[in-house]
Amino acid sequence: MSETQGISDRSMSRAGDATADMPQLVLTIAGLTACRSHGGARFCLSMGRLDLASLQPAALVGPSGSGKSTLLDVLGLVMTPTRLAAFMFFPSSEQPVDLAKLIEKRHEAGLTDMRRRYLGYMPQTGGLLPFLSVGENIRMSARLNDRLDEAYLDQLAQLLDLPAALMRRFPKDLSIGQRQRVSLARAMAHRPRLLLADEPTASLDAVTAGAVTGLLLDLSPRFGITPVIATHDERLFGRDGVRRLHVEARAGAEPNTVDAKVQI
Amino acid sequence: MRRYLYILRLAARSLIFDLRLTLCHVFGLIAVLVPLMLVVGLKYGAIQGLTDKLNQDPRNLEILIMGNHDLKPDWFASLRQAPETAFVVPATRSLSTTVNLVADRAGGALLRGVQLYPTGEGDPLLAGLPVPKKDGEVALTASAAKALGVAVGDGIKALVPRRINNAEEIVNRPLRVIAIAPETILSQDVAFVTLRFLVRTEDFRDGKAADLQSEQISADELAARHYASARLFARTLDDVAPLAAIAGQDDVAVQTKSHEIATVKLLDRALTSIAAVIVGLGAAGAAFSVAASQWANVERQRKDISMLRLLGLQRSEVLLLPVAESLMVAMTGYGISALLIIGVSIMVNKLFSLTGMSDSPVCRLEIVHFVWFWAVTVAVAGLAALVGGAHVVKIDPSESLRAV
Repeated sequence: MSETQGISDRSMSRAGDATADMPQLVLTIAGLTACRSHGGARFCLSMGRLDLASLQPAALVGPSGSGKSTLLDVLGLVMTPTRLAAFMFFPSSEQPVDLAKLIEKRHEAGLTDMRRRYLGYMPQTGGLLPFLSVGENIRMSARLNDRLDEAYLDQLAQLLDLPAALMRRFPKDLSIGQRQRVSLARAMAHRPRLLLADEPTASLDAVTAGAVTGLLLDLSPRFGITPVIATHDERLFGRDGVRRLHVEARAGAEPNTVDAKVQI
Repeated sequence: MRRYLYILRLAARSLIFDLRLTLCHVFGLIAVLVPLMLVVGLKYGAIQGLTDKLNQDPRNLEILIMGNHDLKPDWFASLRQAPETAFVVPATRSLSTTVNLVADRAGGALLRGVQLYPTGEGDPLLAGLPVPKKDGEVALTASAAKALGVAVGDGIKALVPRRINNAEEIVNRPLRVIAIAPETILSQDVAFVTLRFLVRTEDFRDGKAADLQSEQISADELAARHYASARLFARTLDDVAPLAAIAGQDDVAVQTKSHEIATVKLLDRALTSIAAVIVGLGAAGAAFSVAASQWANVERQRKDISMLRLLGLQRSEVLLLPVAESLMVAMTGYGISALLIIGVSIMVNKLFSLTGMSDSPVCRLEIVHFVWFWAVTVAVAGLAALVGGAHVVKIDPSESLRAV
């Protein structure tokens, strides 16, 4: 986590070329190795080049412990890769951002800024702030960005089946399914470019999981948001138009090591 | 700026949401602050009040000349030059200055054995009152005025008896009452007169003068005389001992309340030290208490803080959350403590006043004390929150992505 290496000029110019060739991209990441050490065991995830197309939902599929969350952490700018050749982010109407450079320079404020402006998060258990009402939770990401659009939020709430009566209640009063829908609304409230969801249906029953998945896949592109979902349940994301990225892990050459790879 | 305001709002919402826990923190702070304030209030009220009372009571500043001496003009000159001296006036032998007074009206009451005190400008016993400047003027103590049944402006007569050539002789001198000194200053029957009148009275009783016509004594003669005694007052309590030392030269016997003063000062120092230790320990305890509660608060909110970091709050911004929460708790606790201590002070003072144990406030806190307590509370709470905050900024935003 502490060593970021291999960000070459060649890679940068290649990423720059990609900007011209593929204006519909959300991000390009190449030559990634991300390692974690925990309890004496070392886990390393590696990936070649990944170009994420705008508005095309992507599902990171694989069993538990395969490295889906690790990749999500890298994409979510909360984990420093061990090696990284290129990492470009393409905001819809602004200049591309060289995230690899920000990571290399350990420009934490810049990365935090990127998270706030362009990324939306939907954690496994909702991640709602317990001391804020549902309405306040949903508005939070928009408020932090000074992008409060009540008409849009009303529309979002309606589409996510979050009635006005629910807005005054607190997260502890909600069912898990309701929490996930509120979490999704919050993740979309500031119209991020990319929405990252980590096992959003893991705690839900099959029916609710299907409903939440449907909302996630249908609504995000409708509002210009590209969802990336980490899941171990491939069936939920088997529909057409969803790009599936398989993450596989196997024992490494050395003891207590696991090597994982993303099949692009 | 808007984000900072939003974070303040989040802090307030968090405190309101966990109201019971917030109140526990507030009451914890009150439990520390109120006794501390009370200690300071009692120290400042009781001891300072006692010191002030001693300082303000001119009788405590007086250096009594015991017995009769031969006090020369030089002795008085050295005292007048001493910076410790507030007031000095020569006095005659006490036996020669006892007279009878009678109200100058038909059937006026007679008051025997009234002590004549020489007075002059700056006499502490007549502070704020007119001072006799002419030989026909007198200021009486309240008890003497009451016994004579006279008020300011009334006339009285001084009856001075003497036995000369085995014959009793009494002469009188009309005097006009120009002031009455309150009983709190002096409870005995005393008449304050000019030095010249006092000297003439002594001379008359000694057989050196035929009457009480004091105007015949010149100022030079008064200044050149040797006197048996003096009335001497120091400026402050601290001046009493050094002035007594000056006055006590040449075997002049003096007496002061220096022992009582020293006892009060010793008590003051001791109580100041005790109060400092109590306040110091209390403040340290409060600091640890607030720091510990902040730390616990941060641990409790770890997941929420991590989520705020994930959603894009910078480290410095997220640091504001525990600091704001701590300051809000501290200000609420301080506000309630201040109100409580005002109420407690009023009750304590009333209790002591009603039981007659003290006529001055026993518990006294002034604005400056409240400002000090506010500043210290803010500093301690802010510092403690920064300790918790140092912990906050290390929280990894990825923590919130993982299921707990």
